[in-house]
Amino acid sequence: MLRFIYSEFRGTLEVLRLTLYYCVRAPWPMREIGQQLYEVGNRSVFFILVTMGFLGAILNFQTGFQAQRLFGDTSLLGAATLPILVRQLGPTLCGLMVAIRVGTGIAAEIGSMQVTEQVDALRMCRAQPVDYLVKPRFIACTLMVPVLWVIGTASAYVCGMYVTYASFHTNPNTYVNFDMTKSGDLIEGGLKAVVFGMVIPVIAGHSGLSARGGSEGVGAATTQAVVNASLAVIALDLLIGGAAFALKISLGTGP
Amino acid sequence: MIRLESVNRRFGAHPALDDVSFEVQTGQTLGLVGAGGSGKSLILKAICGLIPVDGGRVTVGEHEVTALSETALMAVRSRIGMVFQNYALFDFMNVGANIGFPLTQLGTLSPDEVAARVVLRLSQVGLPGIEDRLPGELSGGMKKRVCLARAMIHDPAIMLCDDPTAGLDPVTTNRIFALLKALQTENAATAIIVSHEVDYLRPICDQFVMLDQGKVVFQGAAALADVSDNPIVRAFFTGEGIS
Repeated sequence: MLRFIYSEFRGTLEVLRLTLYYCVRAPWPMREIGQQLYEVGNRSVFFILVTMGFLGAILNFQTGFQAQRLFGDTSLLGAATLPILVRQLGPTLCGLMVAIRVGTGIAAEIGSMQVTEQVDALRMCRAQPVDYLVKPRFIACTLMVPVLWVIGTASAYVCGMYVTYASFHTNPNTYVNFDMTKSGDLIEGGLKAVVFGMVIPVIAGHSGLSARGGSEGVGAATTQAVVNASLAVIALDLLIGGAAFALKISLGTGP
Repeated sequence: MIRLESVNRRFGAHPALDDVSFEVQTGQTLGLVGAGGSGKSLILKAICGLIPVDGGRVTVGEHEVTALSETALMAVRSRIGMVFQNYALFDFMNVGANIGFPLTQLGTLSPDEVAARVVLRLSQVGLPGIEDRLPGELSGGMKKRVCLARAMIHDPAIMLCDDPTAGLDPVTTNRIFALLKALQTENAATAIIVSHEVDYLRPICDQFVMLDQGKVVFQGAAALADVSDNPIVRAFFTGEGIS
């Protein structure tokens, strides 16, 4: 088991190394990148809007319920939930949603190409599979996950506002309060979104390129991609969050 | 020239290639035969450096493939045209782009020259005017011929064909073997053809190598295989039963 984890980790790092290497080298296939931007961004917007909207509503309902019970006041609900959404739930949940929707697609597509020898055919035509298949998806995800983070966080906040108004009669003007959200929260959330956007296509690409056998192998690669990408998102969330927290403490800016 | 020396490849405890050695001289055509799962496709992939070997040496021309990096292998692969068993046509490209892809990647010709070469190769394989169609719209025989056109678009010095007629009717099979011979002659290419169709291979192959469970059990002309002491070899070449 440990050997498998080590080989997966090493393989993923190798795909990341090659992806970064090819990203700084021409050519950049603009048409393919544009197509992937559409696939990752436009095609995920509705999914992100809906799921993040529901999650924002649940977060505000549950938090508001506790605040009402303990303090009898929900006026600071919007101010308190916004930094959590911006730096924590927004990027993490968007990352998980992209891992599910886009990561599986990448693994299935590249995995199918692998088992039907199309990847070998690419290599025979002097095209590197990582350059040709992973690079455009990597660039698209790195650019689009931060955009989806902004949209998803806004959706969660707006839906939370509606739930707070409907359940606790908190005035939207009171709810919309940015006082507790600092620039550090934005930087942390944005950094997480960018890192998740880089990691998901690399993990999914590695899973696809490792597919063996037939359709069963493609299925296994797809499952492996979503499991590994989700684990990576959660582990990196903790690492970046911990590092940001330690930095804030050392700079004396507080948690 | 292509030379394999004591090549080994294992999958877990199973030896897929066991001490395989043979060579093909420049301009010769070798028929690589054997039962399914005997390691024929693996040999073709080892020659191109598409799979690593566990031991032994593979040499293509002056290059030792088994000692080259992925980047260095590109130069070797640009001299090879490979017909894949499962066509391996890129689903996301039309036929014209598929066939022209090796030339586009080489970058030595202008787009117009590539397009002209694609038209020529398509007419040679008997499929003129299908440049704009997608691989999904083609029959199995058409896909094989498109795959053949793509493999030969850059006039390779080496042709590797992995079961180019699998699952095809006798008329198409005949047509594809005739095409292979014509293209091989045109480029004076060295060729290795993997197939079960021994009768079709006889007139176009200079020599044969037969594999059984990853081992070379016969190497030589077809006439020698017909009278081989090994009953498996004799049965494969003559179609007679094994007592």
